[in-house]
Amino acid sequence: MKKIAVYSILIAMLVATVMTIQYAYAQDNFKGEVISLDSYIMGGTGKVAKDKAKTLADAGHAIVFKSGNKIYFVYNEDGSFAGKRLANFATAELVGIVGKTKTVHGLNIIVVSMIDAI
Amino acid sequence: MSYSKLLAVLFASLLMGFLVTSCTEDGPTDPNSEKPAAPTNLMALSVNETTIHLKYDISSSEQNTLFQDYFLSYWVVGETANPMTMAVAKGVNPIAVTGLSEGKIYEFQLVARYTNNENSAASANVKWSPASRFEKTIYNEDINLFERASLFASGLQIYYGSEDGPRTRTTGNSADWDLGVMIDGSTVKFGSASQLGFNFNNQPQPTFMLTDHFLANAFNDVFDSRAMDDGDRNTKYTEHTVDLTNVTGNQNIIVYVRKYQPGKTRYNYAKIMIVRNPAGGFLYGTAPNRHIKLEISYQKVEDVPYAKTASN
Repeated sequence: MKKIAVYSILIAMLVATVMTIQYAYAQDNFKGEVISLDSYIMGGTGKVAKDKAKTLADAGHAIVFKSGNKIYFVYNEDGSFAGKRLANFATAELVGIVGKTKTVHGLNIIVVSMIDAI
Repeated sequence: MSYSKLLAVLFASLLMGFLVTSCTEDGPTDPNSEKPAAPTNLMALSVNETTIHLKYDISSSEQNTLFQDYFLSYWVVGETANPMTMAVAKGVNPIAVTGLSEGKIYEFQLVARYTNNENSAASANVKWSPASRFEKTIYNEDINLFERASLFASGLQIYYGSEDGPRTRTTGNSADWDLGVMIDGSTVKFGSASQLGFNFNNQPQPTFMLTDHFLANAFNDVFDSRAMDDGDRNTKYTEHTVDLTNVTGNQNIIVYVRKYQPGKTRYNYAKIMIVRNPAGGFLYGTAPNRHIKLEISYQKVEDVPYAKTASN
């Protein structure tokens, strides 16, 4: 019985380690554009000027990333929301993000590792 | 006159001459007129668009009890009427001069002062202009150039006027490239866009780098007294690349660059620093997103190679 418990713990630790490593290296590439969620929901394209995007982000409005038909909320690796960071790219035609993606309660999230206009 | 009288007259003349000379040359020094030795080797660097740092070799009179401080005068070249001035305490080196205007060339003149109100007879001089400094792109991200396999850009537009800063460019925007990186096998080539080996649809405009490069721990260590096109430097700008893997030591590399902006016929000048990673190499990150990191000093005004030369 003791042996089974020890083996179970070891297997659990191994699985956790493998999942951690896999998660750490599961970086995906995303191409898309930075938009204002308010504008997009109200039926527009979501594209706003850089200054407008910065103002919106400063006021707490969501600046998000649209890739294909998906809208992503982008977070920095320190856990902070990256809306203000995204706002700098509002006028860029195409933006690239390298990061990890996950879905939380139906919301699409990217934890950004690198971002730049492409 | 007898021979002995002649000798006596000659001796008397010599004695008089000696006495006169003694009184004027070797008499006791007047402490009220003693002058300090001048500082030397004044050099400058542009910290940003309004600030210059000046570095100098100290006066050999600093240990004299009469030593008071240094005194800096500066003015826009050609406008000597109302020079700006500042006292510089002993030990302040480099000197930070603020409130300047980018593109204007200032003449700086540094003298040493004694408490007897005497200044050094000579001065240390340099002519220099402030220039903009960029550590971020127009998107407020680090200035990184990536390997070709990456999603991100390998090319750099040193200065994008519409948004007042540098931006990175992919091969899809090749006409905008000034400089770039090609990370290939064991080489990391950095330099003129046209010399990197990319197959561009639209050829970039030429961007010239000085064939000499400089090494420094930080941009703010790169003092110079010569214009970027001074003397033989003017003949040493070519389109070329540097293989960063051949740069030895542990310091960052600084290259001097000049190019015409689109539609212009006069050069803008820039200094680009490629920053080493904490382990000492030039590459950051892992494949396929290995990249180099840059900092840029850029002179927005054409024909101002940071310092004064005969032609500007």
